[in-house]
Amino acid sequence: MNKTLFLPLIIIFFVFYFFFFPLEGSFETVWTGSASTEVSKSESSFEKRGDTFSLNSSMGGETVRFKGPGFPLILEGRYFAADYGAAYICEYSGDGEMLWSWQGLAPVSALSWNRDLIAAGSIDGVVRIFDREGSLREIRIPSEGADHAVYGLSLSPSSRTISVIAGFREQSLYIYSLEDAALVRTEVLDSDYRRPVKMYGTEGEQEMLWVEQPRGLLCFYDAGDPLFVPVEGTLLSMKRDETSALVYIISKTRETGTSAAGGPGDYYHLKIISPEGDLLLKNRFKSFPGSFDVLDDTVLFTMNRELYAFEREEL
Amino acid sequence: MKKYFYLCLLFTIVHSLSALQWPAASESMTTSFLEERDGMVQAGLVFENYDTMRPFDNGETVFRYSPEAYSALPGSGDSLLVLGHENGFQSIYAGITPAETRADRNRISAGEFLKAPSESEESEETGFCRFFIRDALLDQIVNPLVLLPLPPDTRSPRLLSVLLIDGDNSYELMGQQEDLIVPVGNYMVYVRSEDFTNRGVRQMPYTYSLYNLGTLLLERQLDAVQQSGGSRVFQDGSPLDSVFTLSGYLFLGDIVMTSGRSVVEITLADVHGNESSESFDIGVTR
Repeated sequence: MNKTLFLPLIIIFFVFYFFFFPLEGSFETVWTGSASTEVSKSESSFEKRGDTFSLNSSMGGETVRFKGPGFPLILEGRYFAADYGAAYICEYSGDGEMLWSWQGLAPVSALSWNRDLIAAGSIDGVVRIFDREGSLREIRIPSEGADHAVYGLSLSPSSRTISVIAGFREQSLYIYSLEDAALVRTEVLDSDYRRPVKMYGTEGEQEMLWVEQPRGLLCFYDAGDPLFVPVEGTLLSMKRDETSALVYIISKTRETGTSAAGGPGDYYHLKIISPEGDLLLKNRFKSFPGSFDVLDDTVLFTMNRELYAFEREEL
Repeated sequence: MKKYFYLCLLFTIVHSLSALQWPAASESMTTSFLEERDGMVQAGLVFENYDTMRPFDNGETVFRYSPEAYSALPGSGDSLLVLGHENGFQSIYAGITPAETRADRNRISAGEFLKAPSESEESEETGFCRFFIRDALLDQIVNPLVLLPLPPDTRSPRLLSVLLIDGDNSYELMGQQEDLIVPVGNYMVYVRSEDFTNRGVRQMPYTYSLYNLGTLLLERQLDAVQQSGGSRVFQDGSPLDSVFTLSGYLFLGDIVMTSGRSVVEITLADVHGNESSESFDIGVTR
C-alpha cells in the first residue's frame, strides 16, 4: 500500500469511529488528599480496666465507674457490655445504670444493630432481637438436627427485615420480615464458614444486602439473582456512600513469593465500585488500615497512627 | 440376647465417656461450675496458668472467633472456639490465644494441643481459659465434672457459713458456742462452702440438702443449667438469679420456724459422693 494513503486512512477511521460512538458528557470522580477535612470526634468513652468499667457519656459530666462482667461496647451511641462465650449482653445508661440484661446458654456467634434494635445470633440457631427496653423476640432458624448455628446477621437500617446466615456444613441466607417474623426469602450459599460472616445492609433509593462469600461479595437488592462483586483475598470491610451510591471495599492479600511487586507480606486493597458492580478505582497499600470509614464525601483511613482523608470531588 | 445388647450398650457408653479428657491439668482449675467470678456465676470451669491445653474430645470446629479490627463480631472480648462432638456435646473454650482461633481447621483430634497465650512469643499473658460443655441435643449447659474422668478423692466438702435471714434479721449458725435462740419467722437459708480434692483443688460441692426436724426440704444439685425465657434456670425451674443473690452464698430454701425447737441440718456431697453434714439446734421464741 502507498505510504501516503496510510495516514489519511487512519484519520478517516477515527472520524467514522467517533461518528458512530460519540463521547457522552459525564462526570469524573476523583479523590484528593486534604489536610483540612473536619472529622467528627466522639466525646464518649467506655472502657474496662480489671473488673471496673469507666463510662464518660457524650452528655458530658464526670466519668462513672462501676463493676460488672463482660467487655464494653458502644453501638449506635448506646453502651453495652457483652461476653460472647458466656452468652451475656446488657445495656447501661449514660450514668452507668443497668437498663436490661440477658444471659443465654449458647455462645453468641453473630451480632447486628441499628438505631432501634440489637440482634444476637447463637450457635443454637436462635436469633434474639432486643428493643430499646430490652424486650426479647426470638426467631428460630429452621433446621434438621443440630446443624443450624448462626454465623451472620444483618438488621436492615429501617428495621423492616433481618437477614441471617445459618448452617453448619451447608449455609443458607434467610431473610425474615420483622413485622410478623415470616420467612420471606431463602438462598442457598456456597460458603461453609465457621467464623462470624460479614453482612452489610445499606439503604438509599433501594435497600441492599451485601453478604461475604468466598472470593467476593453477593449483593441482594430485589427478588432476582444477586450481583456478585469479586474481592481479592480476604474481605476486611465495605462501606456504601449513600449520597453517591458508591461502594468502597477493603481487602487483604498475602504475597509469599519474592517476585511479588513490593516484596512478600500483607497488602491491603481499596476498591471502589459503582452500584452496578463496575470497578471505578483500585489501590493497593502496605500499611494496615486500623480503621476505615466514609463520612459524606470523604473516605477516612488510619494508618501507622495517622489519619488520611480523601475527599471525593465531582468534576 | 437382650442381656448382651445392654452389655454392649453399657460398654459403648463407658468407652465413649472414658475417652473424654480434661482440657488442662485439673490442678489448674481455679473456678468450678456455678461459682461466682468477676461478677458472674460461671456456668463452666476456669483454668489458669496451665502448661498445655487439649480438646475435651475429638471434635469438629463449629465456631471460632478472634477479636480483631473489622471482625463481624465487634469488641475486645475473649477469643472463642466451639467444638462439636459425636456424643452430642459441644465444648466451648473462651480465652485461648487468637492464633489458635484464627487457624482454619475443621477437625481437631483429642491429641492435638490448643495453644495458650503464654505459648505466643509476643505475649506475656499466662494461660487462661473458660471451659463450658453444652449439651446441644437437650439444649443445656452441663457441669463438666460430671463428664470428665475424676482423679481419686476422699476429702469431703466443708461448710463455711450458714445464714438465716428474715428481713433485716440475720443469724450465723456456724461457730455458735451456745444454742442459738431466734424469734419465730420465715427464714431464708444461705450457705457458703468449699470442697478441696486430694490434689488440693478447690471446687464447689455438687449436692446441697436442707433438712428441718429430719424432713428434707430441698435438694439442690449443680448438674446442669437450662434456659427459660430470658434467664438461666436449674432443672427444677428455679432461676439462677434467685439462688445466687448473696455474693459467695447459695440460697437453699425457706424455713418456717414456729415457737419451740428447730433442728436444721445441711448435708453437702461432692461429685465423688464424699459427704459431710452439720446439724444446728435452734431455740425459737415468740
